[in-house]
Amino acid sequence: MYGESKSGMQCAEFDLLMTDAIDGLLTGDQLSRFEQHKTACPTCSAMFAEAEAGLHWLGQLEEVDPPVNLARNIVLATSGLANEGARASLRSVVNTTPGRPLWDRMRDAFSPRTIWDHVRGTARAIFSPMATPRFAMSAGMAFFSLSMVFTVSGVKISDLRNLDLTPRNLTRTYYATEARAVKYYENIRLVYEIESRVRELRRAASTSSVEPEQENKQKNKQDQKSPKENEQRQYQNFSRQDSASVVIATFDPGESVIGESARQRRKL
Amino acid sequence: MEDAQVVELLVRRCIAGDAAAWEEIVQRFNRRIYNICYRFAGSPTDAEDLTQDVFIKVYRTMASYDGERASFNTWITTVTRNLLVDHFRKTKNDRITDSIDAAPGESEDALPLSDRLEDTGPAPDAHLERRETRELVQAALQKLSPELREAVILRDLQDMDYKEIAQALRVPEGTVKSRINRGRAELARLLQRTYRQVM
Ligand SMILES: [Zn+2]
Repeated sequence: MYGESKSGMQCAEFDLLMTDAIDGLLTGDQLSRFEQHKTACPTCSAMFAEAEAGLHWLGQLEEVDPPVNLARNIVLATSGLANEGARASLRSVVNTTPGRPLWDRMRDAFSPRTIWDHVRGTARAIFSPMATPRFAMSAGMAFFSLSMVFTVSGVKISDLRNLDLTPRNLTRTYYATEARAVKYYENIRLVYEIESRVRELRRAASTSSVEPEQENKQKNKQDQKSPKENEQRQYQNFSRQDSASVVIATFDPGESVIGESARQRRKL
Repeated sequence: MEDAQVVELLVRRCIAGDAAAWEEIVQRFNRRIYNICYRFAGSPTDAEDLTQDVFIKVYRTMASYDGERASFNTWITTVTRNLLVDHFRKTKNDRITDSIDAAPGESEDALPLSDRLEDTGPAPDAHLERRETRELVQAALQKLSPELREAVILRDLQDMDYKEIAQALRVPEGTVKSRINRGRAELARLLQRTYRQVM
């Protein structure tokens, strides 16, 4: 009876004309056929009423003002793309390219040109209001690589000990800025990666000087003290020396904390 | 000179490396793009990030813009829309992980207003403020499927014509109209349901 009515208008045609009808653009014969179908077809007439209501609701939404610095930030972000290799070089450092060895990437990162770019990048990250995680990370990376260069050129690797390189410190800014970690997971991973290398370095430097001494001491003690006491002491040593490396170890599935402590015990 | 022509000229200057032309483009379009992103994503911070991403993408792909095929306005809308759809897909997948590691308090913020109202039962006030109405509409908009949402945003909030929308979304004009109808109707149904609960 309705739907495909005598006037010839089908539901599909009604649907197609509905926007124009609401916009008030239908005239003459088309309009009367449209109205006829609307009266005859309950489905289409309900749809029409809802669509009109929906449009009315949408009319309540006003245009919102973008943040005041938005345009400036965009220009800053894009001018960065235009004139510098900073972003590109940083990206090559920050994004872990699986195929390339870490030291290759580090060597690139420490060329004078890149360092200067990093300094510029840092300045920009600090002085621009764009406190995005990406920028926070860039600043962190730039600071990190600079300190590395200075320390390494000073040939005092042991000074690395004084650097606050805990993952938490490097990443705190990042997490504070934004909770979504997934997006910049790669960046964080590289920081961890570098750090574990540094720690290896540090340990390599310290084992040669500290360990023999310690071993001697412990040998002496072993003669004097009961085995149980001795074991306890070793655990204390472990927690004092390697508390930081535990963090790294938990990040590396290949090197578990348990494996680490077992190795430590075997060594002593 | 007409507005569209001015923009075309700006684009050409920009491709040639004119920084001032680029700034002018950003000035002209950031408000519009921000509003599309805000209405689609529903959060000011997401909208800000997305708008920046849009302009970075526009900046990088500007040379591929073909003025013969579509206006710059349509083209920038396509770029925006593609990023929004990507964002939608990503956030849909992130929702599972978000619930595990999101900062406390944030998840509550992310809830659509109607959900919060549903949880707390009928509101004490019979009449909702205008501001609250807007929040309800925005929340309902968030519940529409992305394809209905983008269609009504571009038509009813951005006032684009059907042909432009069809070009931007790369679908036939008939499909655009049908999506607009369904988007509007679905929105009204959602709001009627919410209002019945609130009142
Ligand atoms: Zn019908």
